[in-house]
Amino acid sequence: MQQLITTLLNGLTMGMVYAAFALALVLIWRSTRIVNFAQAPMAMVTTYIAMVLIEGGLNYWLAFILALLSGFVLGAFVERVIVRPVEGKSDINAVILTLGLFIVLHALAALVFGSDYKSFPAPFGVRGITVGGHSLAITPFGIFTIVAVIVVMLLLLLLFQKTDVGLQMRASAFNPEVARLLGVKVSSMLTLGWALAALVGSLSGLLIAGGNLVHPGYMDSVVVFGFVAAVLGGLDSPLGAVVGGLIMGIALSLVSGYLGSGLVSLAALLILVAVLLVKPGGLFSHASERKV
Amino acid sequence: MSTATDAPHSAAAPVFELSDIGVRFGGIVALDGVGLDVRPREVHGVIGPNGAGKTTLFNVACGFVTPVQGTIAWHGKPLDGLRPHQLAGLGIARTLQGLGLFDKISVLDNVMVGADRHGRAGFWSGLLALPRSSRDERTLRERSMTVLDELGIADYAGRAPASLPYPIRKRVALARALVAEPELLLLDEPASGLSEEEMSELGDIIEGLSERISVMLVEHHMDLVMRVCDRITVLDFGKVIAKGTPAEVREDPAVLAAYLGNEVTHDDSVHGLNGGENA
Repeated sequence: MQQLITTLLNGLTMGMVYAAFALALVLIWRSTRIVNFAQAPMAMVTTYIAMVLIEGGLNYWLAFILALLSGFVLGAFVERVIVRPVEGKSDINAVILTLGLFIVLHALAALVFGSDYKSFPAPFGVRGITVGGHSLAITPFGIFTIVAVIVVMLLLLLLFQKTDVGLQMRASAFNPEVARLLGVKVSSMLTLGWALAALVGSLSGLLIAGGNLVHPGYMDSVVVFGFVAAVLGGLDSPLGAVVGGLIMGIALSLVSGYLGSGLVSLAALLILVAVLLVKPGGLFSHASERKV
Repeated sequence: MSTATDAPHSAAAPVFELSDIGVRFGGIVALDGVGLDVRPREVHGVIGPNGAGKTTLFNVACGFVTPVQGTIAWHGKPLDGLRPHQLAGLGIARTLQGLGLFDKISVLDNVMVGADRHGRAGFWSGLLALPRSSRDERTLRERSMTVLDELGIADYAGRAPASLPYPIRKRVALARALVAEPELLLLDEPASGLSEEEMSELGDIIEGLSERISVMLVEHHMDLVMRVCDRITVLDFGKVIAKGTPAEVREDPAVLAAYLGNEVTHDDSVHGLNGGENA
């Protein structure tokens, strides 16, 4: 029983991180129809920025926020400078571009920050909370992870549903042509969408790094799990991304806890295959919405 | 009464003017030397038989079709290389063919997207939800609700357009064009798909609009056009064949010929007969 609770709590924490990462993928997908494979290394770069700042003596929280902001700026930069030139051409161009960016950022990070493992500090204890003499798998940092992701998601929800900019972003995503005709600056909305997505991606990177070892490839497994989570949720649905992330986190945690950690990647692949076979549009899609 | 309302129309300089517009699609001449001007608070109708070039003219006015000759002027200033998305910034609104509603966001949100964004809070203050921006947000919401109310569809504000019947969706599209508080509204076949009663309500709406803005109405329902328009431009085979008030246009032999005798226009005797029957 205790192992089950531990496994579920662990899965919930990781699920939150996958949810944030999947949300980052969905934000870009639904406005530009591009799967941003460079999301993971972009988050990795901002985590290194946070680490350099903390090692330089900056307050952890200040570094955390600066890293998120650098993610925002990096996302806007990538959209404006790298993705914009292939806009309007075949979608596959942009996808290959993000794959290339994946490799470039990896190599750059190894050159600038070194390719060895470095430990990333955590602001809270990473030891389990003790309840009634039992040590649970939920750590203070784990609680922070869950709270941070929920707060960011609520802020995004407010932005999209309650502000004019959010409305313009939704309009641009649903029908860029019409939005443009109505006077919405669609290109600004695309840049903002990438920037916000990179910020959320950076959050997932920082949360995974907290109390763990960081190297240029530390986010690579997250891109796989986050992508499966996004597909599970239907790629078009922010809510789907969150639910998909939680399902992935808990499912993979159960696999890891009961079947062996070596099977986690295989399980993720099986989930992906199962989703694509049974409900290719994802849990939250309507069959008629997307033209194939 | 009609002279009192007509006088300012004829005296005022046109807000929107198309001069000597020519459009060719391959070897086909779609528009040839077409000109029309829309005056302040005037409803200007464009009519003509099928294939006369009405829609092409509308698309020129919207910037969707670039004419090979002629000029488009807004308050006397030529608009060179007009692009469709620039209309909103000028104060020209239009309804879109196929309505172009965002099906999955609420009617109110659909209308709010159409609001004019010039002179409002900037990108960054909008993003950061600064006080000025949220005040704009409120007035925007109120203004959108007011327009929905004026068009009699306030009850649908929270619904998604996909779930609404076509005539209601047409009104949502009209509300979205009007919320920008345009000086000129371009309407392309607004009566299509409407019942007689709905068309009559549409007529009331357009008459109400003409108290504050100009309207260019491209339409083939004669009843509506004759009722609401101050002046009418009649096209046939890409050329202007008549211009004037509804009464003048109704009596114009060239118009009668175009509508009733276009297959025999070369035959003078039949042409005359048609004109005689309807005069």
